[in-house]
Amino acid sequence: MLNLAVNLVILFGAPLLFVGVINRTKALWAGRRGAPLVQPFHDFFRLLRKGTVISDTTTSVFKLAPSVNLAAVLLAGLMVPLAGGGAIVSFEGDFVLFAYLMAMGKFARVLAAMDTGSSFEGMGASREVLFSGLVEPAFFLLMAGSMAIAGQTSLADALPALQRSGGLLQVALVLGVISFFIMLLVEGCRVPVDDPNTHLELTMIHEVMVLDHAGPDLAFLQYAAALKMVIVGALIAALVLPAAMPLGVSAAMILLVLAAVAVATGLVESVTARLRMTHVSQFVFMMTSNGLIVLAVVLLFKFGGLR
Amino acid sequence: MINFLIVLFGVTMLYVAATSRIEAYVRVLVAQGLVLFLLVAADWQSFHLLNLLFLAVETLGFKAIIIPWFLRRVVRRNGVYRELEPYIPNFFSVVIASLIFAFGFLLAYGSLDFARDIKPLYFGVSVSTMLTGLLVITTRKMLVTHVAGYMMLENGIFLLSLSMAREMPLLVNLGVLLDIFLGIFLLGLFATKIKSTFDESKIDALTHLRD
Amino acid sequence: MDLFVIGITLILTGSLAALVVPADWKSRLSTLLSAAGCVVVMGGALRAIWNGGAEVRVVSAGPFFGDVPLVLDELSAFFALAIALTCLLGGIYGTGYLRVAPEAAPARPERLGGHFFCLGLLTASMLLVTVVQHALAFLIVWEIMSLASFFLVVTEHWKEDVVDAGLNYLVSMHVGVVCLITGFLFVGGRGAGMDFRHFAAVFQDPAFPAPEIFILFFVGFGIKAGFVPLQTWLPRAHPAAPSHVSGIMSGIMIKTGIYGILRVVTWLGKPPVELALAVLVIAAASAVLGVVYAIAQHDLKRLLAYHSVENIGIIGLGIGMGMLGLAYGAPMIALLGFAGAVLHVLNHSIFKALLFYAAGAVYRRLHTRDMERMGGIARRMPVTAALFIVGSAAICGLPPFNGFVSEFLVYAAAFSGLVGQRVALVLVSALVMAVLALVGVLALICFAKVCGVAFLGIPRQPQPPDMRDPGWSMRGPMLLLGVLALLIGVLPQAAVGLALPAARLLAGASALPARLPVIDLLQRISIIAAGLIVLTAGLMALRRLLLRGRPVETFRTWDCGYGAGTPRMQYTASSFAAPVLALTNPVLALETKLEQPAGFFPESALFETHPGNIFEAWLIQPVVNRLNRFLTRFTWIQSGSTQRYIFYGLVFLAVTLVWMAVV
Repeated sequence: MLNLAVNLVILFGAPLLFVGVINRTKALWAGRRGAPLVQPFHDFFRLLRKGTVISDTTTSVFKLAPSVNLAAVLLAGLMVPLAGGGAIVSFEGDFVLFAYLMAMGKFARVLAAMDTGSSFEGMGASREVLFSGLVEPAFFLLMAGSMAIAGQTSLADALPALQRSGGLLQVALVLGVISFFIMLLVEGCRVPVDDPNTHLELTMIHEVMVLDHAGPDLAFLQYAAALKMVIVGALIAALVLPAAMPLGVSAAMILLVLAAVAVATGLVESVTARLRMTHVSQFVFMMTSNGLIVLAVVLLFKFGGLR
Repeated sequence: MINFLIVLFGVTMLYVAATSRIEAYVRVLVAQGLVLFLLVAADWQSFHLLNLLFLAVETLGFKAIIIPWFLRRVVRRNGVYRELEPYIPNFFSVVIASLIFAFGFLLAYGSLDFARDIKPLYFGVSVSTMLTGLLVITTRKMLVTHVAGYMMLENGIFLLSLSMAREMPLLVNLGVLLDIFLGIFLLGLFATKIKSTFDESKIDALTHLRD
Repeated sequence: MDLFVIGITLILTGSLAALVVPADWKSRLSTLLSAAGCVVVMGGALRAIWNGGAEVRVVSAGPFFGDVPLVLDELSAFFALAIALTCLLGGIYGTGYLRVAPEAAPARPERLGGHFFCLGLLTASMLLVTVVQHALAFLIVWEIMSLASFFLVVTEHWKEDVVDAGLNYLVSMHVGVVCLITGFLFVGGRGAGMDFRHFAAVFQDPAFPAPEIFILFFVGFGIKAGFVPLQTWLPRAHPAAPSHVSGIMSGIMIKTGIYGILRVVTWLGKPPVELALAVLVIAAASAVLGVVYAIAQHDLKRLLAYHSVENIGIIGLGIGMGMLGLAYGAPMIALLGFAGAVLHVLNHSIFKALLFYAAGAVYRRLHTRDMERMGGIARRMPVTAALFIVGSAAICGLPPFNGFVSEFLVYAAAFSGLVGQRVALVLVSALVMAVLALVGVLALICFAKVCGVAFLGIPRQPQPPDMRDPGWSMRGPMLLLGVLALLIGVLPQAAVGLALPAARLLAGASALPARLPVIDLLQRISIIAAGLIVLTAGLMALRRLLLRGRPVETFRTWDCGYGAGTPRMQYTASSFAAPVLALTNPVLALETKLEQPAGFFPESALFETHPGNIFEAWLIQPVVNRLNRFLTRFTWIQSGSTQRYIFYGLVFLAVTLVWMAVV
């Protein structure tokens, strides 16, 4: 019971804090003091208190989409391993449901974007489906590699398996962490995939899709985006942290890893420039390449006896 | 640790396939030189002192310092910083390079049975590096890229020779050095000449050299 | 079995009635009888699945045929259920559709009798295909099915491209039939005769070239199913046919090809690994290429037809995993793979029919299938649009709809293979998972495009004033299909329970436990799918609560202050698909037409892209051209003069007499 409560607190509370850490890191790197860490919380509640403006070209799809998106991402988050070993919901093959729930959220967002009848949102939608789509096969390849080593087929049980010592599997671990980090950059719409600060044509992916939403809808969408980053961060934590730790220690460790990932994201955002649109697909494809390498390495380890 | 370095060596080839900045190729050559140096150093007990010194000079000196410096000089002097019109788009290069890399691992797995004296991971990664180097040469237009691709090919061969559990024959060393020397020499010679004669650093202009 | 026979009799009566009954009653009477027959067949099939085992009735059909066994086993029953359901709803939809459809426009009411006759015949022949187990009778019923569907495809026979598509379809079907005849002859010649029940022994005889004959049957049935590279008839025939026929053909008729392949699998016993891998490769190619081609289309029904190719590929992946499980002696993998394939047959028939019917409703009002001319349909036809979006989510495999359940079963087969001990199995399972994921992603891109461009947004061309949701004869079937899609997604246990007996039959039931662990997984999925709906409703309620008392205004879409936006400025379908198409250009053979704007004040410019099909261009077209050139040499035989023909007859007679004298 305590386990469940701690996990829910982390799941619900971490996203906005995560965004706060990223913004703070970027500000500090740029030599500024930056907004307080809890600023995203203030923004979130401010949006919840506002009214909204609905575009007159839209239908009820537009009104439904943010709720569907948030619901899907929340349910996906239940399957990610958090504190205390194991996820809130865990069963064999849950990673398939995880991936497809995230896809449902994406479908809802894209339909809402196309509903407005504006070419901005259409542009963003078209790029969003491609880039986040390229992540899916890579995710499955990484899961396949982990499952082959672990002998288990659920998200929470398979991911820690790459921690076994032995030089070859450590390669897989490092590549896995890099791949999930790329996934975080794509799902969270961060530089070098997308620029979260602007919605100019050069950087139109996620930010432009939410252009016409306001008030509670916008709050739901932004919260869901932050939640996605925390989810992928938790996946990275599952890769690097040992599986069976007491509740308090594992909660602290996971928060530490999440903070580290947030700082890393902030650093990457500060240091790199946004890639040209055509180069983004190559960048995201790197995740698939890494997935193939991880799979190959795992097979060599398990069946070839290479250490 | 060694296996980690070898896979890192292979991953650099993926980066080469993706990028279009020539300075990035040069940086990759430096990285590969360093990795080869570390691999030689890790295995230092199986070489004579003289051979070890030679290998250290070759990897650290030539591959990691001198040749990249030379290539960078050529790039700066000719002002060509990017490979902008490859024959196939970069995305397909990355896909093909990934497939080549996976194929290399497959080879590594296959070689577990038939080749007892070759360390399998070296074999797989070196073959994939060689093939990716050839891919870079055949799909890009710039002369400097061709030389860089050729250097990567040589690095792959070097890696393969490192995989022999016995001592590396001196002859292979000399052959590799000779190839490198010729390549740099010719490039340095021709790059400046070509630029001044044709004002073109791409090879399509060179097709006019037939009758 | 009796219910089955009664049902088929009712359907045939209905189709005959369509020919003889006066015009006002034709459609209603024949549809009523057909629907009643389908309901009866569904009852019989459900009872057969419930009871388990196979019901056999041998019909003695004279000295020529011998004894024709009609066998309703678990596999037949499941397919019969799917066929009956689709034809039931399709018939009802069809009556409403043809009333005001563009295709029926110049038709006199008497003409429609032939249409309903063929419709009934198609239904009955499809049902018979699943139970007839006599080679010659099977081929006859198969042929009747092809001919009936051909006549239905060319309903608009005054249009040249429709007839073209229909003839293409007919020829493709007959190429398939030739392969089937060869296969049956081969097997029959090895001592099995015509009875399917003896085929298993022949196939499992070590001296029999089982893999080659399997490939022959696979090609024959695969042409009907629509595997790549044999699928060239599909994207032509389905748009050419009227929408209810497209729904039935795409929803269930191509699945008879799958039925045939599965029947051959039951004869195979333990297939060699290479055969399973070959099936997996073809299925993967079909899935990926089908969806890539679908993304490039701008004709709504052609796009849906290519998606059928993709889903046949997914079913093929399930069959391949099943065969792989059989080959490696892993019964659980085999069961999951076959269960996924079989369930996807039902699921696809549900959501594909839904999509075609919604597209038909749109076509009926707009008289165009080009997505670039649509837009904003959801404001005038909200029910149709909502159902289309439901169908799209289902076909992408998104929870909480039914597509996810069957795809999950195929994934389950793959990840069961991952934890095994054979390296080849692990590698193939990982690749199958990656391919399925890729296909899912591309399908999502495609349907986001379709829904977004055609149904949402603003109309790109003025809409006709009579544009509204269709009447209940069309709305009813669509609603029912939508509800079924949701129901199977939220409560998958029932549907999987229907598919499992067939899967057990295919996987060899002996080595499997009675209670399967996959049922528990389905329960969790069901809870989460229901949770998604509940949570969404909760969040909507929260939203309404938050917005109470706050200003909620309506205003123009944000246009960066431009203020004079037109509907043409919306993102077009081709633009939406452009990033993906740029990446997949080599396989697409896109034809581009470009007229650059000229001068300082250009008056006009033109940019058109049109997707081709590399299989047609590189595989079929050269063969057809070669054949044409060869056969044109013989046109002199057909001189048109009756005397010449009598002369030919005389020559033949003389030669025969001489032959008989000599020999």
